[in-house]
Amino acid sequence: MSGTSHPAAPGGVVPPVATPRPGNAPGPGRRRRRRRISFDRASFFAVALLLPLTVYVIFVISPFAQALYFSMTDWSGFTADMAFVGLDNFARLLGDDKFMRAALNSALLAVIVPTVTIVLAIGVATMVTVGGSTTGGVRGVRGAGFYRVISFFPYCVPAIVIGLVWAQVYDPSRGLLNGVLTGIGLDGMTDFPWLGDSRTAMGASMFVIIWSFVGFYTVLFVAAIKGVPGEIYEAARLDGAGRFRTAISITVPLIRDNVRTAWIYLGIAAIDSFVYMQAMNPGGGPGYSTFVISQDLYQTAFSKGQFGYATAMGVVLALVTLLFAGAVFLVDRITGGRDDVRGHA
Amino acid sequence: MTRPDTTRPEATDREAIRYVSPLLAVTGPLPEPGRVEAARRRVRNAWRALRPLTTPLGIALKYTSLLIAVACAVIPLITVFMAAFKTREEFATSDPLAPPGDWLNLENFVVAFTRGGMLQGFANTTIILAVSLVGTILIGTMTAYAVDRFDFRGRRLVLGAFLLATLVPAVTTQVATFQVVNGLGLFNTRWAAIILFMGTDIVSIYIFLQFMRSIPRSLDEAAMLDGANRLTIYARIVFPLLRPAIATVVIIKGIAIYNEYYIPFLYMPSRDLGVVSTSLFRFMGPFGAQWEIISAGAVLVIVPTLIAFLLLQRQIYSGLTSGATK
Repeated sequence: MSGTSHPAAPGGVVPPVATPRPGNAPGPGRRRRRRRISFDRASFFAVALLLPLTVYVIFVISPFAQALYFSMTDWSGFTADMAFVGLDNFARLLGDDKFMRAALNSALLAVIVPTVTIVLAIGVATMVTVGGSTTGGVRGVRGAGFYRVISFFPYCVPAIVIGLVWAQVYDPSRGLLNGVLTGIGLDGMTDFPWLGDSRTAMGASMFVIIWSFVGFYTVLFVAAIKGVPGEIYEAARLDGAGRFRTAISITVPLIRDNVRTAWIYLGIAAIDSFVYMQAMNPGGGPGYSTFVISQDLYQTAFSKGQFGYATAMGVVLALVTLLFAGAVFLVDRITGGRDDVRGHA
Repeated sequence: MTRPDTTRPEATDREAIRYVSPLLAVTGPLPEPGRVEAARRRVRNAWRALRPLTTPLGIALKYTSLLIAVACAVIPLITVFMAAFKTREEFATSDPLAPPGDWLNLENFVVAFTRGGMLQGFANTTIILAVSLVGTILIGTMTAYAVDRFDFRGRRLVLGAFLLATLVPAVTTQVATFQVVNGLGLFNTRWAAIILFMGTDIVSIYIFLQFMRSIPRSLDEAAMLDGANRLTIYARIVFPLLRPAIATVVIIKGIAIYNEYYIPFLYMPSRDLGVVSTSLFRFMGPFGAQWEIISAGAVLVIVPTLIAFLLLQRQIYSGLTSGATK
């Protein structure tokens, strides 16, 4: 696009502005640079690009290609022989009730966790940046820094610790949650097993995952909102927009790209969820209500020794993830994501 | 969608309104200018009239919700902290929110360190963290330099290949990656974790790439005219200028490696190779339901990150800011 200095361009059509710049002008002249294959260039290139790429190809790309093949074999993982079985593993997955339950749970996580996390994170981010007093300049609530620090807190706690801590909070007899609930008069909650009841196990687990993500995304959104010129908020206020309206009509469209990225990252993390589920309910929860694909895959491969079948699960997981990312992009496109509001500036 | 006309007369009196009006207008059909002004006045008056009523309630609601959020974030951690100092009987009988009888009861920490293998865990984590961070920074900055400053065929292909890893979950390729690691004889060595942390890190490459674009090309071109070779330019110009991005990557990546559970869990099952997260999880076996000892272990794991976080908050925020808004 920037290569406007096409020598053969018919002079009459090109507007006079497009005359080529003098050779030494600092401009978008990427094409101008001469290509010399010098030793310097080649050797640096080899170290700086080929080395990382080799590691990447060995540890990321090649396993990906191998995974596609393994998923169509009956390989056990411990012997070298494997027979090609085509799509049998995938057909078997469809009839595998345990796997279908895990897939359903993973899908549920992919929908609910990002949605709730993003709504909460935008809420907190709005409060600490533009939710402050309605008089005077646009600013956050009092003590905004304090809330920001506290909300980021859980991000620094390892996921495995988060899982263990919350398992303790949910403990039926000595846990904090039931202690608080009985304390406020809900005696029926005396020993309610939050993680041991199939009706609440998934909700309780989701809460923990959301709890651990909100802070990080709050900070991301705070950063994005701070990138929006303050006059926009001031003008919105002059126009009579309330806080809620401001959040919906100003904040969200302006940080739209960040929201989309956050949605994808959160979805991928939520579809996985291995560590949290492993820490809170290693067996998959009551009636497999918190069992997820990554746990099924781990058990199938490394406990049962069915590498081929497990890899097929992994391929399905990848498809689910790609579908999810595609859906996010599609929704973004349909709701007018390309219509960049900043373009009006 | 019809784009609202930004040159309406009332939009020109304040520069900033030009940014906003289209945003406010996209939700409905655009009324003619006179009506807009009237509607605006009505909303403004209504807002003014409501203000004395909504403000105290609004403030109460706002701060209550924030305080509940703070309580949710902090109280579970506080109970763990207090549980770490309680004796076995005390933990079984006392309220989770009650402070321990003796704040100097370090028994649980001693058990966690000696029998729980936390000391070994910290040593392993430190080694893995240091080597992988240095590697990530060198690889990431060099790749970013090469991708951004060299024109070569297949540049888009390289970027696309890197993008693949962000979209395909690591679990998918777990079995195959395991085979590769095993085949190279890295299984059950620290190198397994180090190479996987180092070689597959796309997020840092992206952070470096974004930052790289803000460094003017004229700088390296000038250096080249002065006779500097690529390595010199990388080492003397690009690398020092990337320092803020490096700080961000050190923090984000450092926390991620410290917190990582799955990779050490799968590739380094040997007891001697436990890192902090896997050592802590191993407590679940021998110490079964001994939450006070697990709590002590959890406190030991959290304290270093907490200190790092409190010391480096400013860099974390500014790092995320530059990453998010560029």
